[in-house]
Amino acid sequence: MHTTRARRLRLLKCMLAFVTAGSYATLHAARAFVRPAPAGAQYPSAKQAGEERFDEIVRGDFFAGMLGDDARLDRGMKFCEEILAKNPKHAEALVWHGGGLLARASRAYAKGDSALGDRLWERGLGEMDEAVRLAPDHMGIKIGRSATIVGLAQSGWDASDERARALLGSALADYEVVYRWRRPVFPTLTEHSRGELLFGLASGWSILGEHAKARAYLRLVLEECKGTSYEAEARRWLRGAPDAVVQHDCRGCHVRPSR
Amino acid sequence: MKRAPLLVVALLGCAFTLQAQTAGATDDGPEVVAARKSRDRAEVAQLQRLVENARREAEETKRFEAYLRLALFNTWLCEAAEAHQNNEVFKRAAEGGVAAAEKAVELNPQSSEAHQLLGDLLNQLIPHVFGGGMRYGKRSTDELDKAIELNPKNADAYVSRAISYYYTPESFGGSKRKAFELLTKAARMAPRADSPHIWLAMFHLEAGRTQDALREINHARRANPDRSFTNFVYGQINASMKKGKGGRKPAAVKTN
Repeated sequence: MHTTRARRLRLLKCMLAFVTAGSYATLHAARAFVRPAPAGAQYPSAKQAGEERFDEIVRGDFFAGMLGDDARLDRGMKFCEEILAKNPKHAEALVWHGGGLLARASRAYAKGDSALGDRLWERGLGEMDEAVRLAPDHMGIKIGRSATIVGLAQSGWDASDERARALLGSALADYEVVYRWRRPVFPTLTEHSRGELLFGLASGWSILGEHAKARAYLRLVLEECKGTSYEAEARRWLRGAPDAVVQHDCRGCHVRPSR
Repeated sequence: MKRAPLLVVALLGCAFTLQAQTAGATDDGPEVVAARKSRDRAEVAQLQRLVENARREAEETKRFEAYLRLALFNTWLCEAAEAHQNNEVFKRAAEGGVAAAEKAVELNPQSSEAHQLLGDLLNQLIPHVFGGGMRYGKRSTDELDKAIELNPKNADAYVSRAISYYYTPESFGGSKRKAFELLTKAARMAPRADSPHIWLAMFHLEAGRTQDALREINHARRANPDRSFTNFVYGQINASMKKGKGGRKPAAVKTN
């Protein structure tokens, strides 16, 4: 009959997603993870950027921006825009910039400006799609897009929304490709990388109603993340209802000081 | 011997409950009483008719009170649809309610009730939209905070805000302690309202405190014995207690 409780449980993830998208009010604790950018910090020149991993350069500002620091988000976006002005097909700049647009969309929605929010939302998703199209073999880009889409799906889901189903399906397909690529070295990856990838797959498939697949990934967590809190969490889900939607909160924070 | 006083309490409770939620601009005219009764009985079709009437009235009069009533009826339609797991009706009601509450806020930005309904309906909409949390989460809590700021005695606003606090991870500003505090505050402010007690009962149950849950749900049942939501939670508590009698401690429901 009533599923109010289950519906409310989903709010948890919803709240998490909006928080990561820029809530100020509820972030006191999370802010502790976000160390301030060093005074006078500058981005490296484009030449330097070409010599270093792109995500290492921008991730600090983008995650801080998603957690509410407008100045750092703006700085990350500006950096990507400069790169894209020179090379509009720079896939990494596109995927990060797309994520930034989604963060800005959430700010617009928060202010009640749905029209602007919708425009930024569409552009953000479009840029992420385009990035994967331009660089289909780039693991970082696949992870960036898939993690974002799985997170969005966890934050609210309409099973009758065909476009959302297609987006989530493609994100999970990419996550599975990443798992295949990383499988030979999987045990050497960090606990966080292993746990988040496999829980992302379990959660995403459960949202799509593919519960057998979801449980297969939960069982994989038992093997691949033995002795970790991920294993304990997977056991809890496996003991629960077989058709439960797997909700999982990312452990640890990706934010660190920008350069 | 104890039944007569209990009956009096229950009747008083019902009378108060009829006035407790969003009193003021949504005075208890016959339509409001009928809508609340339909919510309690989870009568979706009847509520849809009442929502339609309210929508027509709002469009014709363009009055603040009419939009507020339309938003309120939509929240009740959500509750009725939830009882039948009818996601389509639920989503439409939440969307219609948000639009009506936005209009009410526009017409009277100082109305705590309008902000509370808007925040609550945005929360209701979140699980039904792809990326709903990202789109509506922050706005929802902002609206609820505004509702409390405008009227620190708006018990419904405390209930809605408490639910947000409860289901948000602590590292992101959620707090089960604050949720309990706000619900307790709401229960004190509106001692005969049922909603704070229903949620307190649910949260106690989730923590495995079945006796506390039973106490709270009995408060709610005394206030309004007919509400489907209350009776659902009461059933859950009973089921948990039966399990407990079977030799197992009632399991705490995991909330992540």
